Amino acid sequence: MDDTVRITRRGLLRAGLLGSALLWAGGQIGCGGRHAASRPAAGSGERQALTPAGEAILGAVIPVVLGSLLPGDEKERRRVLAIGLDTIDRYLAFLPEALQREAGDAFATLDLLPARVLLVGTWRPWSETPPATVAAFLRSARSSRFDLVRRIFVFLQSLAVLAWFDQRAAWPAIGYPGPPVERTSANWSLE
Amino acid sequence: MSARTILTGNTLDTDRVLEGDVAIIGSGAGGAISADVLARAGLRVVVVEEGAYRTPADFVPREIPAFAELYVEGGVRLTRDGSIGVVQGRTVGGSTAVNWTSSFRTPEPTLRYWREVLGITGLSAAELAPWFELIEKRLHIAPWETPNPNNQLLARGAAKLGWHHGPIRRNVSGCANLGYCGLGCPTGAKQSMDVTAIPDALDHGAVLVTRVRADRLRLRADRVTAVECLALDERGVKPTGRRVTLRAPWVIAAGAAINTPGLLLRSDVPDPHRLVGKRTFLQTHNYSLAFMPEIVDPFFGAQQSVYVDEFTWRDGVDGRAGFNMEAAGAQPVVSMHAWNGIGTELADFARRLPHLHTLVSQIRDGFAPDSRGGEVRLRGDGSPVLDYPITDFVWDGVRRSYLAMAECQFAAGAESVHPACSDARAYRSWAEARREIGTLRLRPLNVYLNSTHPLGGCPMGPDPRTAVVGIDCRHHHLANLAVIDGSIVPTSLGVNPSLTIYALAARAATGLAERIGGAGAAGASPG
Repeated sequence: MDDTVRITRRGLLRAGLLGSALLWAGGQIGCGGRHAASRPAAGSGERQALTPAGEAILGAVIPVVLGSLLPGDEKERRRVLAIGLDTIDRYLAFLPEALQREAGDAFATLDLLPARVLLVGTWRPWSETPPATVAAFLRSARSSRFDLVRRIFVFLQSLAVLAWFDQRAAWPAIGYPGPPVERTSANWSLE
Repeated sequence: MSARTILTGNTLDTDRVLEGDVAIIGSGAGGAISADVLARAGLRVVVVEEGAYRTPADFVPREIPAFAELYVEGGVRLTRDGSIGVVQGRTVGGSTAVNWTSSFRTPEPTLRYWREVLGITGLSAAELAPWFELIEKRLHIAPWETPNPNNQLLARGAAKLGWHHGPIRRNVSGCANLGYCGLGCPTGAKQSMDVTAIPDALDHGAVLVTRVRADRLRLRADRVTAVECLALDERGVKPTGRRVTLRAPWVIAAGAAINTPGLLLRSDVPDPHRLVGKRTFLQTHNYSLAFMPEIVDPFFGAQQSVYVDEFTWRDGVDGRAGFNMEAAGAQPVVSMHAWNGIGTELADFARRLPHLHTLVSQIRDGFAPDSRGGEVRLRGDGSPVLDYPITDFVWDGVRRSYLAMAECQFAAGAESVHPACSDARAYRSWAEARREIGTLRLRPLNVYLNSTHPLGGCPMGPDPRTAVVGIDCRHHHLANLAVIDGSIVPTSLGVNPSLTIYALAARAATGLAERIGGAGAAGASPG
């Protein structure tokens, strides 16, 4: 085992402990949904559950998780990412209020500068974090020795999966012909 | 046939008090069968349900809308440490509306354990047979003879290895073999409670109230005097401020594992031996992902039609963890959800979806002395959460079932096998898989675990020191409360649980009808 691995592990140890403290602090900040960052974005479309912090973080995470599955064309890419965020917002809006708050608190905490520095290793806001940095964060979080950090990874990765694979645009590349029955829905765009 | 009476909680503009002979909390396997039996017996039944009432024409065959609208907590009700996602329905019909129709009688070794170790009499295979027959006839339960490729491959692997396997029986009538059972059957072929027992109960005068949550049982002395319910908004999330109060001489709690113990804990129901919520079992599911040379198209065709029980009882009923094995192919989100890749690795994996073969193992808990399951606790807001520690007993089951699933998939011709664990990788041969899985690091949140079979938390049994309800499902300390749902099951089962719950419910509700003395109570008996 070389030094890099050990240093990384030490770094993760630090990140893990401080990450716990940060998540706890975020929980306190977001308690009762009073903190602005824990509330759905006001005026950004018609968000019901997804917070601005959540939108920024997922906006950085989703393209990295999905990689080349996303369309190369920039306009189409923006369109499917917007559908993905809408889907996550609606999905979260059906969760119990306590879990919606928990998700909002987790996003608020991950959006704090100390969390970005310690976990992601960047001073930049999520929206300006390079994909390679986000990818490195996701990989290290996935194999972290701390349950909490691995939980953050599972949370973010599963939201990315949820945002994409139920979209029509996702299906040709993965050989899914789509459902045999078509229905409409009042609550969902079904794009 | 009189007009059906259905109230929707989200549209109530005044508080309501509803009276009847029996109040039933929950419309899933236990609640719906109870409602049907009791309504047919001439009793006035009121059923409350947190979900909405969807008809087959309402079901949208898309994953995210279905998970959000038809399942508890979006289909991923996480245990306290976030490591296991419990899957439960939240719609009229409960989990029966979204399950994959796999129907098994309670295995003989399970019933023997209940009798010999837990002192539960009257539930031998012979004594339960008439109840199983009643339900099997009612729900058209029959073996499924045209397995999809996912299931054919499971049968092929098991046959090559000489493992015991067989066709799964399913509760369907006129099934078109679409494979969308988990999203609500769009053709109405699935004989779930929302298209069988609930409409029949309604036709016999039962009243159904949707989008209300049972908040609390009001108690006086040894009786439940009322069930206090909160009306919920259109999504079933926020209380609207309207209340629905049920008053009935008999109350049946049928909200399933986790929710029913949660209701009893919230209500401070007498629990002198601190049993409520403990011994909640998950029969934890872990997954093995293989790529086959042929097209599997796992998203089409009845998801489960072949079982393997070679390892379920091999080490004795209370030895190291036994597990059964089934196929688990489904639509893209579910198929991709078991594997947490990033970037290129995820893309490469997803592009081979038509070749993906997924197996699931279900690890039998609640029999061995060191397998005590989890405990339901209440969050600050009163909602229940399951604390399920993953013990060495479970991890040993995970490892051995990963091995067995990989062996089966290679025997069926797999090109590669990848346990659904982010510390694992794709193995190219059984020899490699055997070597690597043998020392694979297993830890929470890296091993993809979920459970569609939560049971227990209000176990039945003759002794109030070890059981919450009696063998007749009546509460040991409250004279007019019965619990009739999966929470009474005192261990996991070793098989998918729906048929066991239906049969126990038919038996218990018929006994209750006779006790209460409904006009046509005898008519509900089997045979």
